[in-house]
Amino acid sequence: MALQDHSFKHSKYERPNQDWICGWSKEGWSCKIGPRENGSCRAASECFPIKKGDRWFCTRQESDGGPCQEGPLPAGNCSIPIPPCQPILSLRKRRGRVSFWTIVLTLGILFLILPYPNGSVLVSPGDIHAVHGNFGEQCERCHLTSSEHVAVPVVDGLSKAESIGDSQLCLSCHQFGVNGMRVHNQSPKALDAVTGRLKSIQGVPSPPLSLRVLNWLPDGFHAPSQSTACGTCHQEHQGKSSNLQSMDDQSCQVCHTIQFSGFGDGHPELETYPYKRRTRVAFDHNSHIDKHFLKEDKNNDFGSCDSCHGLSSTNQTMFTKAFNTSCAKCHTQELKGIGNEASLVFFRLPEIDLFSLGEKRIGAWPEDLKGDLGLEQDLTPFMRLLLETKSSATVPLAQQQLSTLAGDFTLLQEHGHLYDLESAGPEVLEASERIIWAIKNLLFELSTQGQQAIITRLKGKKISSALGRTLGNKELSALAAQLPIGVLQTAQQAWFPRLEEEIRIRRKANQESGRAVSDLSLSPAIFAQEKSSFSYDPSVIGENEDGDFDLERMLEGAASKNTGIGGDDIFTDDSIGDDISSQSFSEEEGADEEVSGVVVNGQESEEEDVDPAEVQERDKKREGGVSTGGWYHSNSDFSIKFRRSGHEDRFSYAWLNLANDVSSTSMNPSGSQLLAHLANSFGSGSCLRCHSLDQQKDENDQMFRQTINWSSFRQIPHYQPSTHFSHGSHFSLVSKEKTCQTCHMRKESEEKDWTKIWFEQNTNPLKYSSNFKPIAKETCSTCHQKNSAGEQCLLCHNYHIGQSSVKLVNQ
Amino acid sequence: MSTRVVKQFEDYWIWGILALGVVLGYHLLTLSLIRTNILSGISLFGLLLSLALFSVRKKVPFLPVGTAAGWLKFHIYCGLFSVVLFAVHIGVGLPNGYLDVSLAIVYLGVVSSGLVGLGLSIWIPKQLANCGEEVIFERIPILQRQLRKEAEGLVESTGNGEFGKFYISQVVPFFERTQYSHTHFFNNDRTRQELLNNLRAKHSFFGALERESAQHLEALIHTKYNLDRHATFQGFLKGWLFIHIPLTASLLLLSMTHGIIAYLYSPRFF
Repeated sequence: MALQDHSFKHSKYERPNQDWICGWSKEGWSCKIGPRENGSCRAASECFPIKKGDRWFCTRQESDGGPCQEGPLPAGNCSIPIPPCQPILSLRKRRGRVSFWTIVLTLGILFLILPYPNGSVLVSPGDIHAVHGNFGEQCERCHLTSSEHVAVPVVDGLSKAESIGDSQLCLSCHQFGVNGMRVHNQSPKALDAVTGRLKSIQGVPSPPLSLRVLNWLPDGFHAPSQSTACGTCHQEHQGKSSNLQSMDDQSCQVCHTIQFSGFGDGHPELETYPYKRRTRVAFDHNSHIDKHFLKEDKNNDFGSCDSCHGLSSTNQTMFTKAFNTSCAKCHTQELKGIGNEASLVFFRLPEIDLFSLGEKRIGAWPEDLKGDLGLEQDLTPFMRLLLETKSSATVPLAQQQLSTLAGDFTLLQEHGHLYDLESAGPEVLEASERIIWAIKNLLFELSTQGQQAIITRLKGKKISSALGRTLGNKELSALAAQLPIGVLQTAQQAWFPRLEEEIRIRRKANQESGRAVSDLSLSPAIFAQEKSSFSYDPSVIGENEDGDFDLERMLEGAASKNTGIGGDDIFTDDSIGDDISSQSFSEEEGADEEVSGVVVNGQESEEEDVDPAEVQERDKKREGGVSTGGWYHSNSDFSIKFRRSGHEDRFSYAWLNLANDVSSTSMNPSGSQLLAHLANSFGSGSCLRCHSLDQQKDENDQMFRQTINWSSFRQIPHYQPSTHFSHGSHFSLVSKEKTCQTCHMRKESEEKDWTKIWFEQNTNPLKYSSNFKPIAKETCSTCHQKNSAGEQCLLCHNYHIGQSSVKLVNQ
Repeated sequence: MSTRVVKQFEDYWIWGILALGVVLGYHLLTLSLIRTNILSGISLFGLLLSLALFSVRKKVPFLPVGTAAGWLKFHIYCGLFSVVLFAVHIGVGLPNGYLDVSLAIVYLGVVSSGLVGLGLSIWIPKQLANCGEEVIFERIPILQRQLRKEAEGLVESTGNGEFGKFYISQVVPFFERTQYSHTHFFNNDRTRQELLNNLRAKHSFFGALERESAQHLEALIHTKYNLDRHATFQGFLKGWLFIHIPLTASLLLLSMTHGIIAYLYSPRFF
């Protein structure tokens, strides 16, 4: 049956878009006119009659039944009034009201939450990782405030996962050095070098499709700039136990030169891995294994790799066991030294060509070292370093003297030796004289001050400026090596019995001439020039009528002037005076020993007839007296020696370090000379024979860093290499078939003198041919595949390379 | 597949391909370490605003900005597309901040209500087409009153007999008000059938005039049932918007708050 008549005469026009509708509509009828806009009822009657002539007519519409039968009232009012209603909201309006109150509710909640002191808890995008839990809800610990943010262009903003400024806050705890914000924490130059090397690799596979598509994007979009924000990779607010280091393999490759699908599919060969550099300790595996370890000897317990290598506590690396475990069994004796190789000559009087030096005044000098015996005995590098580094702290005009002495050494080296001055010119002869007096002064200071003389010189400005630091007490103690003053005094008494008088006279002369009292090396030429400048008495400085040195005359002159030996009036340098006056020459062992052929300007000592063989025998006895290491003097070659104690000898260690530091930081020739001397001492027992010397160029290729590798490879604390490998995790794979050599396959040695070539004659640690073949990629990829042991980049590679440490913070 | 069917799904293909392209594009951008969350967030907010414009468009029908049908189509496709963007924006994991979780819940409420509304808009008209006459929702109370009066007229014409007693005892509540019931969704007309069966069972007690009136009443009951069906279905068609629109308003506010906070803790772009 039809419910509705849709003709306009019978169908009302519905207006559901109006806010209010007639309240009667619920009852099934509603007035035609409807409520007002404000929701009040305005209906009064069913029509508004109109007057035509003198009559009123009903105007009710057809749709409402047409004109009524009753018709309007006489006054013109409708006769059918409509009872007033309570208009109701339309459906649309009610929906609008609900929306409005929802908005109010939402805003209300937000305005209640945001100003709340702990509002950050509610607006935080999620829990931070437990390791950052100490920060609590303090957003400012990781985020700069809005005003601190630096405006960045849109593209840059999109290409960086987080503000660089925020990352600076990360670096306040996570410290990665000066390149902390850079890619891989490497300098652009270092990255360029790696990129250049990778670009040179041939046969690179084509990248996977996704990376090829990304390569079409402009560089700025997918390749990080020089500074990379931490949040690029580490996504925080992912929950307390989220993986902050999660990284897609392809993301790693976006910036990389070589792009591939997987480790087994396109990853470059491992090249020289893991033998990228030579070992710190020079060790020829081939010669040791073939010649010694494989011998069928019941005492040979070097049957396997773990005889010398052990797993580090981190389970990662295999370290080389200590000397006592690995090497001592065979190498102890040679490190103690045999014969002449057992000791280091610390101080030695050089042989002097007195015939060529002629009239020059050098004072007393042992007859056996006058240069006519062809000994070619020169001063030691230790002496040269100490002479050149005479302390300026207590000596006026020392810098002038230092520069003079350094120049003198250079001049002498260019034109001859102290033992051969035949062809030397006047300048060289003057330089030689100054050097000789400096040697005598050094011996004088050593014999009067002992270890302090060494320490004072090493603490001087020259060493400090060469090293860029001052030597510490521990280092100085090791360098002095408990040098007993008695040994020095005995030696001085034996070689220069009247050294003290000589020194005092020279200083007196200098004092009167207004020069530094310690400047003992004034040549006659200088004296001649300056004679008029001070009250010069030739007898005081031991000058005879011919202008030659005459000790007797000097002593007599001193006595006549009432400037007796030890007299206070001649000491202007209090420290030196105290040293001398407070220390008497002790009568220790050997102090009154006979010295063979000691002649002081032609006057032989009382023991001149002692047999040289006996002297040597006594020297040997003295050496034997310090069989576990120590100092002694040798009269046969006028030297003071140190006998090494064996492995880990403190003296050798300290002086090698000093020589290395001086020569590497300032290119100091005396440091280099000493280093070379120490390297060649002790023959096969030389420290540097095993402990390699690395020279490394810095980033600017300007300076080089020279390091003595005192220990084998050790994991540097807080240092991450570019790759890591867990030996411990792979030990379960070791079996009869699979041994260490499955991965570390020995290579037949191509060089006969392998150690000599790669260690003794080479200081570049990266220039190297290992005893082992590089590990083939297939060795790893057999197991490391996508669906077995895994082939993620981060399984072997570290992103952060170099120093890294975390500074813990309080809550 | 016939040409008609192909044409019907033509738009879906386009939007499907576009969505797939967006997902792939975002995947690639994510691989390249670009801040996809900012990009997807801005895109998503822009899309939500454009979806909300549909409501504005309804209020200004006089503007020449396309047909309502076109807007509806755009609204539906963009709404579905926003789901893709939303998934891209939040990633694989679920958000775990209070604000973000609230935002996600509200968004899901909007999408769910929208999908329900879409489903109702497709399904209900087909159901109503089987109800005979088309009825304007606002007129249903009038028509209901009209039917009640007609039924009461039948009772009056038969006098105070069995028919009248039956009407008063069992039929009056049926005609008194709209019988909203979920049973309409399942085409379950048990109430109507029980009423009719009871009426038919009384036929033997009715006189001739009453039997004639009873047959007329049966027709009125059928009509009233269809009217109730209209009221229920059209009520749902209009009712889902009571959830969808207020939630949309809340969603826009929360999105803005979320965006402002994200902006404050991210580098500025301008």
